[in-house]
Amino acid sequence: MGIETGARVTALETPLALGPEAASGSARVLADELARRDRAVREQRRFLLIARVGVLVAIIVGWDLASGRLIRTFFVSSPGAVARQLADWIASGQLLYHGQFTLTATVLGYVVGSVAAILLAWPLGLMPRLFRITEPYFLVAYSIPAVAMGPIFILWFGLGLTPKILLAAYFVFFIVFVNTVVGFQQVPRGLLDVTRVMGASRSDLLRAVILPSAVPYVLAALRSTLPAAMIGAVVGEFIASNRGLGYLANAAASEYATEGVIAAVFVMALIVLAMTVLLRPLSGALRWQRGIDARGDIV
Amino acid sequence: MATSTPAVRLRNVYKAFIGQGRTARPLLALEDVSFAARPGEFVGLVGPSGCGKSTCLNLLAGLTAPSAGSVEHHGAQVAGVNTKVGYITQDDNLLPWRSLLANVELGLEFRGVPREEWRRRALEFIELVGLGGFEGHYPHELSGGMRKRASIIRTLVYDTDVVLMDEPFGPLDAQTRVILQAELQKLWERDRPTVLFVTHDLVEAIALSDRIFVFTSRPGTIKREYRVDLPRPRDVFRIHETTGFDDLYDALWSDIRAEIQRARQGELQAVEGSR
Repeated sequence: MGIETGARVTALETPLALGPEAASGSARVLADELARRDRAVREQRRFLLIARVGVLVAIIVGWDLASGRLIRTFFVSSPGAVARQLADWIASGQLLYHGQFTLTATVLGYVVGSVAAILLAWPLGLMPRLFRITEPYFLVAYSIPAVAMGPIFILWFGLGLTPKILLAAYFVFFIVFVNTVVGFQQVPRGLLDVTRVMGASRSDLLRAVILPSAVPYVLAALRSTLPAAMIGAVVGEFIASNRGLGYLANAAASEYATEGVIAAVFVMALIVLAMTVLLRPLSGALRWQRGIDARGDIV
Repeated sequence: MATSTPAVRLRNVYKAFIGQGRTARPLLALEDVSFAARPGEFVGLVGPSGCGKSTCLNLLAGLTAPSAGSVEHHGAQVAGVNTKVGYITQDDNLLPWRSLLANVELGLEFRGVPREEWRRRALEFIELVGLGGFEGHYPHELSGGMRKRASIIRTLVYDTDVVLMDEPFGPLDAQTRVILQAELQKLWERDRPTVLFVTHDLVEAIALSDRIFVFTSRPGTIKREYRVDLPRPRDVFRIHETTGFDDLYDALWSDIRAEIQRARQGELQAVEGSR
């Protein structure tokens, strides 16, 4: 009986052999967990919907109660009056008539602004030296309040649709431009080094590394600039126009018709909301990004 | 062997860096570094942090140029990006928008390998490291160990005779590390490329290398060279039980400990000098 030295490690026997019952037990646990998760998600969705509708109802009811009691109707009109105004405009065809100009200016401005921004950002993003040279000028242009460009565009292009499109484009341009330049410039150094040693030519680098790396930045900008396009179009209509939703709001204000102003603004918001929903697939377009940055969507 | 041209060679190489900013002073990273690796040799580079091991790999990859001295690949000067070597970094640097398969095919694509061959070779290597079934997965859908395997075979698949590896297993957990060391050894024995392998892990260096160069602390230069005469193929899981391992480990460690102490004394003196 010698004395044993050194630690002895003994593996403990598994107390219970994992038989078929255990396997079916595990399967049940997994299935239950999945069902519980699904139930929680469904409940969460339902709660969100109810809460959101609740907020809307509260606003409308609160507005209706406050109007004429807490605040003079002249300032806030009332839900009923706004609804009647909208119905009037729909019946008379005015909403369609004015809406189409604003919609056209917004959509065309959005497209023109984004395309111009991407086309200009492309070479600048790829050529750091060119970017360094032109950077101060872009900063100056960016620091001009976009609204101030309104009168200039109207001087140049008259009262028609063109200045509104350009103003909408101007509002969109810088957001997309800056994002695209950043998208081109943020390509991780390591990726470029590794692919260059792999034998990538300049065009290989552009096609396989730089462009795909910039795409999420461009898409994010495209998704977020629609409201900016609408602002540009409406500002153009405020300054000088005889048609469009901006004109409609302005005309109502000059007649002290509060319900008209609110109704016009409401339609603008609806258009932006609808277009944002239409553009939503842009963010889910890239499968490789999913799970990397799962961002919560508001709409 | 001694007469043949080395696969890679550094001759009296100096490398200075100047940081950003107007007041930045030039910093000597490498000082008179000379070493060579024979074709098919697995060379480990170890040394304290910041001693310029990685800089040596960047010089050989042509991503940076020496301040003085010459960097040679098969006797020819390296000038500009050296696409004749494979370069594996600490980060896996997979393209996140490409599937595993498309990532492994990347180098074949750039190198003008016929398209019909891409798939066959990529799939062969994917099978070799047990990633079969994950071809369509994107990098973020793979584990750290799987991404590392992918980044290694992505370089080995296009068959360069020299492979530079910069702490490839650094970010992995201890178990995955050893498994990947074994896999790397297996892959290396297949085609026997020359490997320059930078690591902080002395066990890893001993397990994989034929020779180990120990660097001094900054400015880095070669302090000593060790031959690892352990028989191959080696069992990396039990390498520490191999005869001769302990002595080698102790020798390496005392070299490096001395360098770390020297670097710390230098820092202390610098701090005191500035007071």
